[in-house]
Amino acid sequence: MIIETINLTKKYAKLVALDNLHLNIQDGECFGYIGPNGAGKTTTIKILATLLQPTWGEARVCGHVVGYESRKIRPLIGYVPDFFGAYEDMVVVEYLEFFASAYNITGGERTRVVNDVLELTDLVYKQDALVDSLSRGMQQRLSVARVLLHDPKVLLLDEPASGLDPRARIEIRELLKELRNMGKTIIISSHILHELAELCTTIGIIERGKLLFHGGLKEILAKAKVGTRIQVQVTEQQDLAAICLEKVKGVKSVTQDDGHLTLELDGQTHDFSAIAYALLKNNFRIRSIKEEEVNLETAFMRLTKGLVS
Amino acid sequence: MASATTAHSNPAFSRLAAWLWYLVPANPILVRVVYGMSRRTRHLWLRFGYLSILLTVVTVALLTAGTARGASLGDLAKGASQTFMLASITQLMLMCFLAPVFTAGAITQERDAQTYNILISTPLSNAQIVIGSLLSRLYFVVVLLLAGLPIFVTTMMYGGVTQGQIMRSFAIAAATAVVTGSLAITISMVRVGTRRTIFSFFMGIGIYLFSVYFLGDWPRTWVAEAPPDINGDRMSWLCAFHPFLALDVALNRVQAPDIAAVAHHGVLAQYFLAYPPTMYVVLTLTVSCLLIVLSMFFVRRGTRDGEDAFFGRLLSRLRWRRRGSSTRKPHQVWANPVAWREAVTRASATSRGLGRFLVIGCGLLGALILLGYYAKGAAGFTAAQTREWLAAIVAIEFGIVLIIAANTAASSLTKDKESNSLDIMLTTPLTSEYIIWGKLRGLVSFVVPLIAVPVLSLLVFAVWDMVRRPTERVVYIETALEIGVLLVVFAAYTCMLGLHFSLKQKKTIRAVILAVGVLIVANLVGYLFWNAITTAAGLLGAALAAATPFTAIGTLIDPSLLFSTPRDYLSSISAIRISALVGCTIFVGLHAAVVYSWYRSMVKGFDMIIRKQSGTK
Repeated sequence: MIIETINLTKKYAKLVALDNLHLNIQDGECFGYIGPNGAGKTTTIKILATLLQPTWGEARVCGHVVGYESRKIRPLIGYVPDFFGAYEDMVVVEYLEFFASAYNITGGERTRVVNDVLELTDLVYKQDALVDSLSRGMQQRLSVARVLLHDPKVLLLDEPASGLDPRARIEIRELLKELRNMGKTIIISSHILHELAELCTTIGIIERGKLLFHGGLKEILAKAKVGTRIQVQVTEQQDLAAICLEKVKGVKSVTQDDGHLTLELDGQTHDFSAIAYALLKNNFRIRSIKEEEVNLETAFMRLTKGLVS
Repeated sequence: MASATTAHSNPAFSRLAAWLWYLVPANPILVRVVYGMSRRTRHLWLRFGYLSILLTVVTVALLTAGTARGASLGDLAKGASQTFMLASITQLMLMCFLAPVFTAGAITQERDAQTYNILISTPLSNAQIVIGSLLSRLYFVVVLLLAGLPIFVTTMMYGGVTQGQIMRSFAIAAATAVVTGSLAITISMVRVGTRRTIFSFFMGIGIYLFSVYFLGDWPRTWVAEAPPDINGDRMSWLCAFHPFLALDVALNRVQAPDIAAVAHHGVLAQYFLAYPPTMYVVLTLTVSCLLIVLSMFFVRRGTRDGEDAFFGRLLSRLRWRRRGSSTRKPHQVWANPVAWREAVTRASATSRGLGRFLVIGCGLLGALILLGYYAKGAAGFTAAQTREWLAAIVAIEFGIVLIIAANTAASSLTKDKESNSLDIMLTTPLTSEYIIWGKLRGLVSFVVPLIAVPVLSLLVFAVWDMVRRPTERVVYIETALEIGVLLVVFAAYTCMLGLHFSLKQKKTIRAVILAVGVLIVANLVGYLFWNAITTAAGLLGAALAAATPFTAIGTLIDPSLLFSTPRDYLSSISAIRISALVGCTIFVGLHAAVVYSWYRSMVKGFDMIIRKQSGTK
């Protein structure tokens, strides 16, 4: 277990940001951390990055306890905050050399490492540019370059794609995929759920400081799928069709959306012939019948209530 | 009733009345500040502090200035007059400190809060925005002035103080606040202001106040037609341009010439020379009005961003390093990256680099000019006079160095906090000890070239005298070395003071204001208190002087101050040199120990303070 939290609780005065959080992340896992704003994602990441101490409970990174063995943890992690920490009057190479020096990488080794990460993140042509003059996308790439300097085991990324344009987002995602393939353990919080679904091996959903779910993507989708939801489109008289379908056995509820009807069925089924039969029997013309797809977004909406601490 | 009807019937008048109403009393920017700020606990404490200082000065002065039981009416009036004089000077000093503090925030406030674009997208007119911003900044200062009025009125009870004098004193203080505020607002509206500008703003005001005041003491600026005082000093023509010089005239400490005596000058010059306090108020208010009007043209200048306008070209010329591409050749990073960042990248910032060159250049130039005068014996420059000037030059240079050090140190951690870069640094293996040591080392490296200027100045004079071997020397070689070591220790002290506020505060502006404020007050009080002790201690004073920076500079460079006659001084030179060396060694050790224990305690509390601040974001 590379990351483990036991009853992790963090309070800011009366506000409970984390409430007895239990989290286990395996070596090499790419963990997507999702939740509404103010749910406790940043607090968790900050605790794991040794920037905050828990009010009570315990957090372990690579077996070391946060707060007691923070010095041992720091060389093992790479932290990318949600805001880029720009040093004014520093150029890209200086910025990377500054942090390489902070990780005690010196002499020729430092030059080699800095050149390597510049190449990996495709920033060679920007090496003499002032850091605060870079675009948001470039700054974020530089942040990733920075955390790679000391080859950490764990990457803690707090919304690395926020505020980026589509191209920069895709580039960062590809970079993270490469890092995942290199065997790094990645903890990434984000609001761009479909990207997390593509990148992460496990997902954790947090709300009001409590972990609502933690598991693989398939598990979360299965959990979110309670019963069966299907979408039905008829050519006309949608209101009457809704009344008709409400009477069909096995239909729990019918809701009218813009241009289609959403039916919630009892239990899991893939047999929609009773629905089709009822409609045809009452002379409704069917345009389509399809099962509603459950993705990470719908799972997130179903599992959370949109509440914040 | 009739006028009301007229106003109703005249739409132009109604529109003007409404415009004026929304310009000042109902100005939304002002109203927000009046409602919000007046309830702030911090402001209540500041008001309490301001009034306490004034009240203490007045009470002590009244008790010691012949107002005791049995004193004659004449004595009472004289005592009240002296009390009023002291209170007025204190009020103006406080105003010169508080007005920049309260108005400087305007320079970056809108930019920091990112509210400026919202503000200019409302239907508020340019005049409303400028006047509202100015008055909201001046509101607190004016409230302070008014709160102190009853204290001044008490001095009238004994006679000797007139309503006119009180009004003139208040008018000078208020006009000073208004011009300071207008200047800050103009800088803010022209949008050349950054956080560094705030420091330059303070420095500019401080340098103007000190340099013009000293120039006012220079006989070449004296007005020949003005009656001399008992020391033979006369009023300077600079009185109408400086609040303290104008106040000196308002308090009758120096006499202005009669208007008939200066009738041969032009009309405006006549008034400037005959009525300096009034003209100071008129001049500052006129300048303020011009600045306000100028600011109005810049309020919505942002809509023309990117256009090739005159001001754009001018500004791009001023920002010479950033012109064109935003790249530069990288520096070599030191083994201690924190020290490297403090000493190299922050020091290489355009304005800071320029400031350093200016301080070094002006300091060396001043010393060389003085050496020229001394070497030639021009203008009657004896060794004694040269010592006095040299002490003054070194004191001014070191004063500037201390303020630069305090400002740089105070912004060192807060800037990292504001840019979120401290969080990143804290996730690296760098320990709190390493970070603070790095900051301190970098800051001292940044300050050492500046300290080298006064030390070099002293060395030049010491070497000159060693070669020439005159009967009375200006300074001895060990004095330069003693001063050098002491200045490094005092600079380290100041850096620790700045770092302390930088650690405790979240915002750069507040940290800088607190650090510079504490530095000025501590040095002023320390100098006044310790100087009284050293001058009374005779030979021992040379040893005691090293306790505070400015007594050290004054007494070690010019120990003749400790003796009543030059003969006494000349006969005790050897004893003074030994006494100074012993004192210097002891105090350097003591100060270094204090700096080290301060550093240790800061290292100890670093993590806790930073963590606490993270939790209160």
